[in-house]
Amino acid sequence: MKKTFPVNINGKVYYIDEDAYALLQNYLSQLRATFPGEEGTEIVNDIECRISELFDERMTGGMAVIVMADVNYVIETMGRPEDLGEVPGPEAHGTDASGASDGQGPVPPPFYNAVPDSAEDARPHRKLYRDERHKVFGGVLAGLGQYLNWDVTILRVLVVILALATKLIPCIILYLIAWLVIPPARTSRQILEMQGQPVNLSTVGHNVIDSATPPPAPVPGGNDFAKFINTCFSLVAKFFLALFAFAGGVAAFACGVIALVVIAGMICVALGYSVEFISDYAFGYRSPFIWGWGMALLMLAIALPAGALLWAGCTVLFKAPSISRSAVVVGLIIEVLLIVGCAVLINLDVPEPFTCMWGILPPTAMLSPSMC
Amino acid sequence: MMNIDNLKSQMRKGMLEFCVLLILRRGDAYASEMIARLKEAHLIVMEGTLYPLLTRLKNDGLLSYRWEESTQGPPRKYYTITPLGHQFLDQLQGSWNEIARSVEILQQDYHSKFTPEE
Repeated sequence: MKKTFPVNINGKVYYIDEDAYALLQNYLSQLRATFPGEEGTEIVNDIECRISELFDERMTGGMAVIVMADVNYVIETMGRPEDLGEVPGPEAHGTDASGASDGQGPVPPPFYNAVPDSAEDARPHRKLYRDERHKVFGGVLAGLGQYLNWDVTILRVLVVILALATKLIPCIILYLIAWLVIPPARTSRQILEMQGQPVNLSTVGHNVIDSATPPPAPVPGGNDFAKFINTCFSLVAKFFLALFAFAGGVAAFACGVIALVVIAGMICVALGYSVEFISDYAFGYRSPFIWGWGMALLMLAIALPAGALLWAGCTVLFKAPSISRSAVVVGLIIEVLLIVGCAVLINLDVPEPFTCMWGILPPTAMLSPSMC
Repeated sequence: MMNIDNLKSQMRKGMLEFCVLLILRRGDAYASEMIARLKEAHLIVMEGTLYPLLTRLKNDGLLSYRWEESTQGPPRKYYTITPLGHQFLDQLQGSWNEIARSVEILQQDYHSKFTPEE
């Protein structure tokens, strides 16, 4: 007995087994990773159309359910993602199209690569990924260790010494940038690439498509002392993370509350006056309210990164869902807007005769009380 | 050391685009028809290789496509050769003829030397 559910492939409904569904889902997501961009989306959509046709061919006997054998047949027919992946670059093709049809230029990598090229596979070709399976913070150093083929413990000790020698800040910033920029190794293919092992049928076997999760982390090697040092790193890292997260949480909460209080206060003051008065001054270009809004924006500008710090700490400590890259970009844009906004608003000139009539006093008013 | 499989796949790779254009010269077709034809000609093993190729040819302006309703199932993408594609195909055809002729000449050398003449 197996769980079965309906899926919509290319506008037709099919009933599919749970495990067959997971396999198909994994296959398609790997195809999407193989063909990135807009062009890739189109390719994968076309392949999906074909997959539905292949299912139709096999489902001739009326109401039938798609099982593992059907999905495996589809994968064998279409080809594995690693076999389809080597698409020659557009520039290589462009020279072809422009006239030289006999291809005198540099030969593009074999596109139709049914049999893995053993000469090419023999060359260890490592790619830089973050190794999240051996991470302390984000796995940047663990990945770098894999890339350089260094012992990660030695690398960590060196980086800590370097960080202390440069007074921490530059190294922390560099680390954060690296964390953001370097992709994590998630699929079997990426892990193999990270370790410099050839990605072909013999190393990947059926795993690359079969396993929805990457293979488990091997037991970290090294002697007891190395393990001890790495454990120390983990503990110290967790302690600092907890500290940062706590501080970020407190700051975010405090600034958020202050911002809300300031806004609420301004609204209350505004409501206390008659309508003409508000329309004349309260929301005018030179209103003292502007300064109040400036303060509110400043508080929000502090609260946002503090909140992000809290969240980042939680993701590492408690395995909370991590912040997506797009969320980081959006957050950065909002942060810049907030900073620009509050800088502009706070520095706007407020006409002095009005300043003392309102509850909120800008600094310029306090400097010249005689004007009131 | 030249890898024989690599060489073969390179030869086939160059052929595949040529052959797709040849198939389409006969008439517009959608992907599955092309696959069937390529399989009849023993040219394709993995169907997935065709799709990136079609998209690439389309993006390079050699092919265009339209959606056509089908009696069974969802609408299909029918590909057509553009004028630019015809031009490209003519060039490919020309260079293919040259290659075939060159190979033919060299093979002829062998045959005239070693085949006993009657």
